[in-house]
Amino acid sequence: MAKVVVKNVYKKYEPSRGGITAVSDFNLSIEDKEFLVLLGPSGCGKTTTLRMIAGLEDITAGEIYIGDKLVNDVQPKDRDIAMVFQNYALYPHMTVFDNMAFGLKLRKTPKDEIKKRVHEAARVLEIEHLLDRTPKALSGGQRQRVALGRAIVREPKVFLMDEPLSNLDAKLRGQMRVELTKLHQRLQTTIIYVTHDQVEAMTMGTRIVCMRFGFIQQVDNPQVMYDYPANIYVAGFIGTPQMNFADASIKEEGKDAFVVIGNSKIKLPENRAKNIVGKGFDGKAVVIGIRPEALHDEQVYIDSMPDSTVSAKVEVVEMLGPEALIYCVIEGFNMIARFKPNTKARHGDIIKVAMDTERLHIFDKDTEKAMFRD
Amino acid sequence: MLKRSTGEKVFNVVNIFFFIIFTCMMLLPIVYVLKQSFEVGIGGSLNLSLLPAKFSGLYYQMVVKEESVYRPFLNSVYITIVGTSSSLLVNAIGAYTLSKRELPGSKAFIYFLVIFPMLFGGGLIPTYLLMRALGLIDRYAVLIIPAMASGWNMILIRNYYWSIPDSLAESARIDGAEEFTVFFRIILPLAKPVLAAIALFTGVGFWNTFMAAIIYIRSPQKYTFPVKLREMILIQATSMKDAQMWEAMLMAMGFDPAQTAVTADGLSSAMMIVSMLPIILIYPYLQKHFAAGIMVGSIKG
Repeated sequence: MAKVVVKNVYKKYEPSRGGITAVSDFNLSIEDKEFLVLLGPSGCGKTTTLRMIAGLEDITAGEIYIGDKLVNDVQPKDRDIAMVFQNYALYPHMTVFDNMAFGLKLRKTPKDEIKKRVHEAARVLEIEHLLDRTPKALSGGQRQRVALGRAIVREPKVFLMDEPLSNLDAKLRGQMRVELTKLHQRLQTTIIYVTHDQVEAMTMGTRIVCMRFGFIQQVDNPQVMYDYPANIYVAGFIGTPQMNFADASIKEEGKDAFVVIGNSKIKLPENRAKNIVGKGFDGKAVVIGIRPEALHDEQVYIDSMPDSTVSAKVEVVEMLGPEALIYCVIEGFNMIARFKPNTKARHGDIIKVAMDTERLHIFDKDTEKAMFRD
Repeated sequence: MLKRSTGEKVFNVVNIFFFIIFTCMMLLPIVYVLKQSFEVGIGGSLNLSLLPAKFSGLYYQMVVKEESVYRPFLNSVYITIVGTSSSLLVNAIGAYTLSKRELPGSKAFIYFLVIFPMLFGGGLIPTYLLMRALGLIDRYAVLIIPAMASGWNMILIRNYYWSIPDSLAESARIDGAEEFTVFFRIILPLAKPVLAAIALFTGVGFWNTFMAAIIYIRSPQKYTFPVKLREMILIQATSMKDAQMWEAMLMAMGFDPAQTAVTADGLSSAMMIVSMLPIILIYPYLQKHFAAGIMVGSIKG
């Protein structure tokens, strides 16, 4: 159990030849017992960051602390960490027991202690009956558990997990997500978890670090990140179906502020208008973002939000059971709306859609950063 | 049952016929030698039958009892065991070093010290002079040390190491392993298939050590088995000198040369069979390690 602090860390490959910068100026303090998720698409530097914390990659510049100890030049084995790899990395020539006991044996743990800890971890992960098998004889989910078990028995200060669920099928992944969360509650240890799957990030993380091109885009807890994305990239990355975007401009009329999309004028609520009016934003080009569930087709919404109702042409209706996804065109922009399954919208209809302006995101078109965040 | 066209049938028949003949060409000489090694008392007359006219284990008793015959056998066993194991170790460790892509100068090392000597050698006489300068002449070491490091085998093993996922070694390192532990406890056990194959090749190479022994070894008690075998085969009944040598040998073994029908051909046949035995016995055991699939289960499912 320890805090992990990453200060101004850079990673450049082949710096002598100009090189590629995989991670730029990474600054983060990971609290003790936190479940921190590094989220981003492949190539965004999240795995590199994790490997630098593990000590498997040298850092080009900056400092990493585990506990209070500077670990820049400390070997992986002396960092008191455990890592679960994407491909599990089980030792194929050893039994499950030996796989789990390997680290303890190398650390000269007494035999009965090893036995106790391995059986304890195996019991928690429900793999006690597999201890005599080799990895070859296990299913994907079981291998995953063994890999976790190997990390648990070491009782490290920090767990590092590199996309541990990405090789499992969807159903198993869902189960393991829940189990990992339970495990975190039980072990009360710091976990740093890398994934490209925003669902995993949202469901498991106490905080999410969203990364792109080696830069941190936003660090927040999952709900804040969902409700208040810092920029267009984060807004689009978090949430399925993803947020709808449209080019728009800001217009002021007296005390009121509007966003204009094509021919539609959408009035912003007063609390937001006061941040805009008279501050020189009139006519500014912006990008608006609105999540599918912030679009409504029910009469009660249309009646209560006359100033933000627009018309939409329905192109495809996907009935998913608990909800319906409506693919429509609003003012020339393709959008997805999430309606109740009893929606009357059908292919080809022109319908009225109310936008929940409290949940309308406005981004600067040039910097792509969120504006007027309150 | 699939219907086969006439062409396929003809092809199959020709195929089978061809390989039966081919197999016989390989097998018949061995069977003939085997027969000869068990046949006593025919004395000079040619017998092409594949069954011994008179069965006897006498030649094998001679192989076991006569020191000038079993000593070279033991010599060969010795250099095979010592040579193969040390050669495996040297090549496996060298290959591990070369498998590190980030090692500075590893490419140059491979080109100049591995690939270049694979294609060009110093030639017989300079090599002999080198061995003499090193003081290795007429010592077992001369049969082992020069043959120990092999660029070809190193590259084979290195390529196999490359197929082992890096995450295994990384995982071991995080688990607390030093580089030596990673190598001996993780990498080496996983490289068993390639090591078994190379052990077989090097083993056969050492077992058949002939040229080097002819060139560098002088004392008959240090002869390798192939050298002794050649000496026996070359004994000609027509050559006066050889005949005297053979008689001396028989007398030393307690036979009366005038009365026994023991021939040098019979003895060398028995020696040939004995020289084939170890490889034939070891091969099936090593072969099971060739089977791929040892990596199955280590990474994703």
